Amino acid sequence: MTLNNTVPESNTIARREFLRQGPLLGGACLAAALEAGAQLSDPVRGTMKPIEASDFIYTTCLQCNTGCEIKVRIQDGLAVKIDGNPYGPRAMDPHIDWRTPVTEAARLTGSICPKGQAGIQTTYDPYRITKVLKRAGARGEGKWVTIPFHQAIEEIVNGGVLFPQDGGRVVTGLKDLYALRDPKLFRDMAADVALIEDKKMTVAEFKAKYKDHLDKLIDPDHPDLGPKNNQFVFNWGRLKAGRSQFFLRFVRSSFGSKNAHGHTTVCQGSIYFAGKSMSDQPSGGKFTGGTKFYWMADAAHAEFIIYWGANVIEGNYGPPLKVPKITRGVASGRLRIAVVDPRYSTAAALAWKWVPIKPGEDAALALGMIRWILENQRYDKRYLENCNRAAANADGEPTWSNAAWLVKIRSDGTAGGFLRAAEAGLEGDADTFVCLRDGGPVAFKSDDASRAVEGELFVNTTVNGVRVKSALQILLEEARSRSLAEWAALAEVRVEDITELAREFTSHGKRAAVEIHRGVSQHTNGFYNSLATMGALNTLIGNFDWKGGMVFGGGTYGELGGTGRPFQLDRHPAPITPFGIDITRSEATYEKSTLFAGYPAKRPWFPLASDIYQEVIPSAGDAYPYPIKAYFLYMGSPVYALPAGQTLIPILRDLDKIPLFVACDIVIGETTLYADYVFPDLTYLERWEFHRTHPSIVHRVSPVRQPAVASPNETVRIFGEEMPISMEAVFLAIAERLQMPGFGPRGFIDADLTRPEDFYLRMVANIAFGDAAAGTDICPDASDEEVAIFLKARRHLPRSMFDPERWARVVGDAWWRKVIYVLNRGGRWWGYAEGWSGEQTRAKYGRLVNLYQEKPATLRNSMTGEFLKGIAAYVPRGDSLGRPLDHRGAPLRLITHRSMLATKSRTISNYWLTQIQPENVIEINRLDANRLGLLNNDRVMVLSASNPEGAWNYGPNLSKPLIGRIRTTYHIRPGVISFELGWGHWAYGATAQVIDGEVIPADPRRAAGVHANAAMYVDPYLRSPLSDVVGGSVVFYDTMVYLVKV
Amino acid sequence: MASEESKTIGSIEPPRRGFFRALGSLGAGLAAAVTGWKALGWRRAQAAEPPPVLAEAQGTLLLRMQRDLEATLARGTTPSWLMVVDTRKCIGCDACTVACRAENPTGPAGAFRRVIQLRFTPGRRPVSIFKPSNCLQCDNPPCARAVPEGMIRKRPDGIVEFDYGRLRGPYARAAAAACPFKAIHIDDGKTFTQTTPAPQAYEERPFVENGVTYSRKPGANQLVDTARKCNFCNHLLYVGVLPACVRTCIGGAMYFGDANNPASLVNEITQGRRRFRGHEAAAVGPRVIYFTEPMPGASYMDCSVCHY
Repeated sequence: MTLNNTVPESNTIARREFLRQGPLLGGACLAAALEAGAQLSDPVRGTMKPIEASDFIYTTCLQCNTGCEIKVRIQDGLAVKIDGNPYGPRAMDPHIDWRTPVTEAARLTGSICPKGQAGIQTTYDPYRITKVLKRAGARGEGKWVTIPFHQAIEEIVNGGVLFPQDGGRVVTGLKDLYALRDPKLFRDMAADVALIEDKKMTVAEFKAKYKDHLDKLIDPDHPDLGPKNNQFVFNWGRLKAGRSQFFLRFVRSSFGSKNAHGHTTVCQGSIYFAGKSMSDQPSGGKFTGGTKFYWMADAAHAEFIIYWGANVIEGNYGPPLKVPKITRGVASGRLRIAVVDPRYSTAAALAWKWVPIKPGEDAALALGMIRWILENQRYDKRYLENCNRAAANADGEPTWSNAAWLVKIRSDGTAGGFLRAAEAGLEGDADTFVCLRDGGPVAFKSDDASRAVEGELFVNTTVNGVRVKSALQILLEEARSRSLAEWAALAEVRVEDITELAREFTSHGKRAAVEIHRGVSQHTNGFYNSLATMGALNTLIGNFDWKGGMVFGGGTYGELGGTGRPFQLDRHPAPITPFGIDITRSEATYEKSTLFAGYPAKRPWFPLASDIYQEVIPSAGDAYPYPIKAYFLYMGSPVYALPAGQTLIPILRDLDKIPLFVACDIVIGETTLYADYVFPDLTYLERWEFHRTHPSIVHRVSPVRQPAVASPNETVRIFGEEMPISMEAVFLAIAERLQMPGFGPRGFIDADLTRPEDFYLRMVANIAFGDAAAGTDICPDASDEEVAIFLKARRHLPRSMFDPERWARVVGDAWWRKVIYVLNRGGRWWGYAEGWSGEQTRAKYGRLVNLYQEKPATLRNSMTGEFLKGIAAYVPRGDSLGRPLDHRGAPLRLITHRSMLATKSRTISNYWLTQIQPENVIEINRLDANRLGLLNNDRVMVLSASNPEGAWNYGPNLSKPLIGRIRTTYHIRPGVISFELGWGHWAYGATAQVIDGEVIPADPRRAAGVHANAAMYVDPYLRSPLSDVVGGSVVFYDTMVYLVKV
Repeated sequence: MASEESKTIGSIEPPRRGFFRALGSLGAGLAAAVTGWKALGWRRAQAAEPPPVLAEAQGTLLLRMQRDLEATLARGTTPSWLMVVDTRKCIGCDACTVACRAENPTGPAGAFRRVIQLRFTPGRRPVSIFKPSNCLQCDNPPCARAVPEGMIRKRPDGIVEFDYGRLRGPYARAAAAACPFKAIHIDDGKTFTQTTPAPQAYEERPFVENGVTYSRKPGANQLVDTARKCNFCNHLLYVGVLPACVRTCIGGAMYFGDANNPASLVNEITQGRRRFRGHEAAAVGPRVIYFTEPMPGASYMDCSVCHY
């Protein structure tokens, strides 16, 4: 049976019983709805009936990753309208007092973006799956059968000949991958593997010691790969707290797999890992413990912000949170912004200055600015001289940097690690560093709060026979490696742009900031672009933790437990700590592994990064570091989301490389198309999750995502509990089947974990506990009125999703009314004024900022064998082996951008959004269009050296050409073209599927537009998407393409 | 690739810092406000005083408007509704458009509002201007003059109300054609999901419009072949909730209130600005007042995107 791409003429399509159906359609229900609707109006005034607090459930949006606080209006059990939640700082600026009674808040709403307003269409999507699907043809053929949930679980757990159409192929079930089960054995083996890595134990000794357990290892000759459990890989797209701890409890603590991978590198990975590297602190002779985060600007108070590679109005983190502060700041004159972006974004329309930089040359522009700032002494000298906490405290500075610390210079002139006191002939341990003062070396510890040490800023000398330079000296030399004119030429800007930006940036004290995003990081040199912009520039004015400067973020309310809190969510009778090198070789050092075989490594190793989305499948494809047996994908679409995602398709279709592929999602998307099993998941309006926070949110926040509407998913019984099918249900069912510790009765040792609410309600209680470990910040009890409102608002939810008696038993009487108080508001947040304290943010980063980073400087690039640089540097574009990219003469540089009407893979179902913009366009400068003989609205095909066919080949005889419509404009610089992400689908309802023998026709509206990721550069050595091998980012913006009129 | 044009794009003379504030401090010194822009002799279409910029936080303004609304309802006298759109703060996101669709169910045939996206390059610097557009609830509505009396009535509170029972078919089309702002569409009864494998119930939900409960369920939709348009969310106003577009505007560009309430925000900011002196406005008497910057250097063709 072939796939049918056309929509039948008639409107009367017989409904497919597995799809989103049932209680919301049909004659009987409509009559009830109309009758209820008659009560909708006030017969006297002819208006709507009065608004009641119980009309709403307060929850959290997930139409993008901002996670705005929302309130959902329920009418006859349907979500009919979503608005901003006035209690929350993303949706309301300033947000209302948390103690405002919900009756008073009933008629108030905050403001959210168009995607948030369209959110019900994600839940009420005609293409939603509600029963488990099993592949009925070849992978990607689009043929499925529905099977009972427990049958699917049984098959996945037991393995066997699961797919007759595959011949006699035997699939390894999870029961056999669950090979090592003893937590003590895990600990012992992990410790001994560490000894092997430090060359203190040999592999032979290890094998002798564990001779009875060698069959549990992936490869006994390489014990550092870990146990077979690691061949179970869990990969996610969009996953937030609560759910993530629930899932990782299964994957790590219970199943014992090291392989839990997020998608960070497809977003802005290199920025995160630049932030992590900048926040490492000295301990035990190493730099360690960095936070995986990044700073953003305090737009509510800043006087000058450079939004650099950041589409801050139309995308970013996110419109409701940031736009109000920017528009009122600019309107009042308090805030001036500059926009560095090849595209004249909406932010550029509000800007004092638009700098149309050449993509990827961010370090060049930044180093030009740095050179000017250093040579004109426009930096904060007082800040940079501080070497430790005591010096910072003396100046009233919340942070300090290592600008004045001395760095050892190798004989070849490259910079290495920091000089230690002992090496300078001074007293001190491995965490005692050295600066120069009055011509002589001075030893100090970074965190010393009593003895203030300040150092000279520009040092280039010898101390105790060791060649040294100060960190700032190294930065100066890097900045001076080219003239301003040369930096400007690289970035294709004018010298005046460099000097004007640098002058403005250094004219506002601490109330200036450089805020970056994907435009900076998604290049092969993304890590160093990030260090030059977010890192060095902000450090030069020392604006961290200052009002109007760079924000660390207020964090969250200890949702998982901690001192004093009522519930510790990590309680587990036999928790496993997984060990071994993960499938993407993240946070691992190539040279220490038993796989070391010289340079280049077969695939890159990422000692500084994790969540390397583009490496999961290609590494499985190369069976490097080892083959995998089971791939579980949750709410993710790497094929669609990644640049050159088509390189993943042959691997996903390969039954040897990915023997078992299980997905959990709400529709059949571009990646779940290739799955063996697809379990239906709950949408964000049906589930629990804890969205936490973002860079730039100064307040402590704990927004809660809770069920607002009934799920259409099939209900199943696990551990005796009825619940709709979800990712939680899948893990609970597997745990039940395999009797895994940590789930089920006594899963929490002295409490049960038999259904998801057992986990999530306890997190809400922890939020209710508040900030103070002594318990002085516990939230009030909900009044009788608020309890009544809580219950009435949820009267439409089935018992399988809302059981107040049971919920009360989970948290106990002491916490039940407090949990209701939190849930009635959708979370808990600091008051608006609490975000700041005097001239600083109240929540502080408050420690060492690494201008220079020892850790990268002492690590080698696994592909070239050279040491990495430890500071902002100009690193030219290059492939994984550092070779120049070859675009075969293609003239146009391809970038992408977000429109506020779309979020990558998942908003094509929102017809209210696509009605406004049915297809995306490719923006091209009019001069380029003229040169190419193209007119506005012409349809063009996008071709590249990596994709000369100009098409997504997504299956045998299945292909979608990269054809889109152009818009000629001056709102983009010449030489660069850009398309909006979110269109150009070939699944997600855009092509027909066959389920239980019946064709589910496609909706051609969903196929509109172009998704030119398939034209993006494929690394010739890796045969997978081009990457930043240092920071991990996958590269969107270093491809050159041809446009051919069709 | 490194063309001269690319290098000079960044050299556009920017508007002076505090441009909006500088305008606010102007008296009649119009020429000073355009220093740095190429003045091409266009005629300003509004009052000599530039409109005030509301720089307060969006949430603060929403609470103020909410209190104004509750005060109006408490007084019990007839309000005179007024909407203000500040295009200087509009970022063209269409949150208002989608909020309106969710609040006032419509189909693919049309919506009550849209946001006009105007991008052009008058001189050397690109310009992006966004104009939200909905029914202006004219005091002298052209739509009413195009159909028999009584089919369209001007309510005492200022809202222009359609009688759906009578304003159908050719009369509906006449009204739609008469609107200079294309604010009226004809409901053809179609839903977004009716051509998909599973038409969705939310599209058929009951809702209140002009005091009557309707549903857009195919086959039971009493609004087919009627003309529909924005009615200032009056089903919400009278239960104390501001219009959907006003509440969701993240740019902070939408204001709403009762002109009969002397203390209201809209009264405060529209003093002396009730009549928009564009060529079309003098005839219709709009209740949606636009605050906008003059658009320097726009050619006639570009003006016609909004002023048709």
